[in-house]
Amino acid sequence: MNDRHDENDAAIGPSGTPFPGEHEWLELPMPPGFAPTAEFADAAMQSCHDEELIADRDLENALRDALPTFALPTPSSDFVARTVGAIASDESRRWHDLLARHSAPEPSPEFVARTIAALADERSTAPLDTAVGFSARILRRAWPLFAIAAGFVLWLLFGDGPRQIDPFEARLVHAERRVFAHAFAPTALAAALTVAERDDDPLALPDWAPDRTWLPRRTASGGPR
Amino acid sequence: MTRCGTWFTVLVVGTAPICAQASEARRAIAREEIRSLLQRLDEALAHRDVREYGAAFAPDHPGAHAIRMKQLEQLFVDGTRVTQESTIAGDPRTVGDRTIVRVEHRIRAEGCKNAPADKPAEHFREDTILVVRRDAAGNVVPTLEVEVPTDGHATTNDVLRCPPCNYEFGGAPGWLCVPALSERAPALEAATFYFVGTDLACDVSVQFDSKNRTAIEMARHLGESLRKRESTAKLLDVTAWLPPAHRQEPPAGLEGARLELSIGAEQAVLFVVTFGALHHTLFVRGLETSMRQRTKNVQDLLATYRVLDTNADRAKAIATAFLAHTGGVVTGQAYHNERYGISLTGPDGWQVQQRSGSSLFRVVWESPRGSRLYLSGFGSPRRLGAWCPLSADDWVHNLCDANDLRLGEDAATAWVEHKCGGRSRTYVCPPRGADAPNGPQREIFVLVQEDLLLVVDRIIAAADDADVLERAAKSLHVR
Repeated sequence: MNDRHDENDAAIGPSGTPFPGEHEWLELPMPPGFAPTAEFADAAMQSCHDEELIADRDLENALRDALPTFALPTPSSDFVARTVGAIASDESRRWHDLLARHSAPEPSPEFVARTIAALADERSTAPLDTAVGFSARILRRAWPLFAIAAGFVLWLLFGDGPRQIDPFEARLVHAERRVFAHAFAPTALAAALTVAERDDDPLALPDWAPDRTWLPRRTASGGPR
Repeated sequence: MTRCGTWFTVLVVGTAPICAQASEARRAIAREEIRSLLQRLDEALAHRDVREYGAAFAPDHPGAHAIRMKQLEQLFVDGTRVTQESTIAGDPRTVGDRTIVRVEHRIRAEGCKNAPADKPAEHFREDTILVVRRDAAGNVVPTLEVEVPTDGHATTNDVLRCPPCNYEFGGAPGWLCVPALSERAPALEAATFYFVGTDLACDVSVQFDSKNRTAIEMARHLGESLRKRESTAKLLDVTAWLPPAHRQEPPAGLEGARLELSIGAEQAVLFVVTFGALHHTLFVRGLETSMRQRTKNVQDLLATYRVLDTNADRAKAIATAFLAHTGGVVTGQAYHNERYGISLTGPDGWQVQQRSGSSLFRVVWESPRGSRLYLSGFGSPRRLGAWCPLSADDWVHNLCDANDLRLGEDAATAWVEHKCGGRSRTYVCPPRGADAPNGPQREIFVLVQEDLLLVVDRIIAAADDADVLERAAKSLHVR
């Protein structure tokens, strides 16, 4: 197809005359000496119509002569069903094609609310013994259990158990002299108080009691002085 | 089978064991089951296997459990064999899904390579608070074991009420009060409240502040002290705080402070309440998640704290607390302790103070020139039974080591026997470290009795004080 900007048009025309573009045809001047009349157009149209009639008549005559020569087939048992199915399918496809040409509108909030309410009503009044409804309800209500069970299994398989904590009370034992009983206090407050006491009066001998195992340990490691 | 039936079967088969285990875990724990557990734990110790002992626990409080294991490890020194017989003392009680029981342990330690020939075995007693629960399989599992005083120091309904120290604390639902051993608590009185079944705990401690600081200063001082021991500790915020029970009408002179600390994965909040120079310290601690999830429980506990007598004379209140917990009282320059039969009169014009450490008692006189006189009493360790010159000598060396004092081989005088049955000697310490050779002279006099080791420590900062100190030391009277 030629285009408005088809550069080849200029090279096609005879004797250097530019060949008119497609959009220019209707604007071309009439050839010299030619003046079309209304009768000319009507005659041309009638001629075309006549040719179509002749062709139709020829086909009709041929069919009328040929069809009686064929025997009528016996309809199969599913002929009617297939035919109705084909018609329904054809109808469905045509509706589908038709609807596909339109974009679906956004549902209104009223429509959504109305639909949800209707579904809820339907669920509450639905019979409990329908298998599909029961299974769906079980799934809906039991999914947290299944999720927990799955998580637990994964934790057992891939987890490393409870987090190992190195409590600071235990770390403080190593920071204290074990001859003193407060080294084995189950609270860090004891350590804080002893440090505070030393800071308050650094000259004083410690105001701390002996641990019950101080002397046995001392004895075991070489006896008292 | 219909799909309905299939789902029903799956659900029943899947949840039945869970329901059964939940029901099993709620079943009450009988005394006999606890006895059986104690027997298993005793057997673990008989096998010298502290690890097996500890593995039986599903610890609620990792810190308390770790410390308990350290305590038990100390029993096994150099070949010592330990036989422990544990019995239930008192009726078990239930808090949530935990059962709490007091346990008495009779311990026999023998086989120590260097034990004296006349005392091959030691017998002593320990008491603990044991917390147990039932696991999903129905077994009884211990979750917490904390040593408590054997002298029957008890609380009613988990409320710690001490009129001499002028306070009351505890009784909130779920909080278990565990009194601390006095030798392990550098305070006049101490206890720990455990929120049963969790890692949350709150320590309570009552101490005297020799520097007369405000509550905020004291909170910051304790926080800094903790940071010196635990490098991961971070002090977050110090603010004024009043106990909920006294917010409406704060008593005159009552001050409070609140300090938040972060210690690794753990979090702590230190509350200090001062009423005169007597400080009540509450130390709430736990994993950060527990502290966040149990805020309401902590608030419930804090709401139980109250000062009993808001009109008490502060100087008198301090004297009352010392008298109740140490047996000592200061009158003028004289210190008198009826409980241990001790008295000593310090020099005139010197400042005198009692102190609240973990020894039996301590009192100090200080001169304007910096000379000092300390009088301290140390109880004999439970396994030791009685002090003797050898153990006393070793203990004095330990005290000096902790204070960077070096005692020479010939630093001590010979032992002298006294009419009271005790024996004494004096150690002379050379000036230490950067102070040498012009630092203060120091003489440490010790008097050994069976159940008491008396230490009179003299620091002579000025030559003029030497005679005064000598006279004061000689005023020591022992019943």
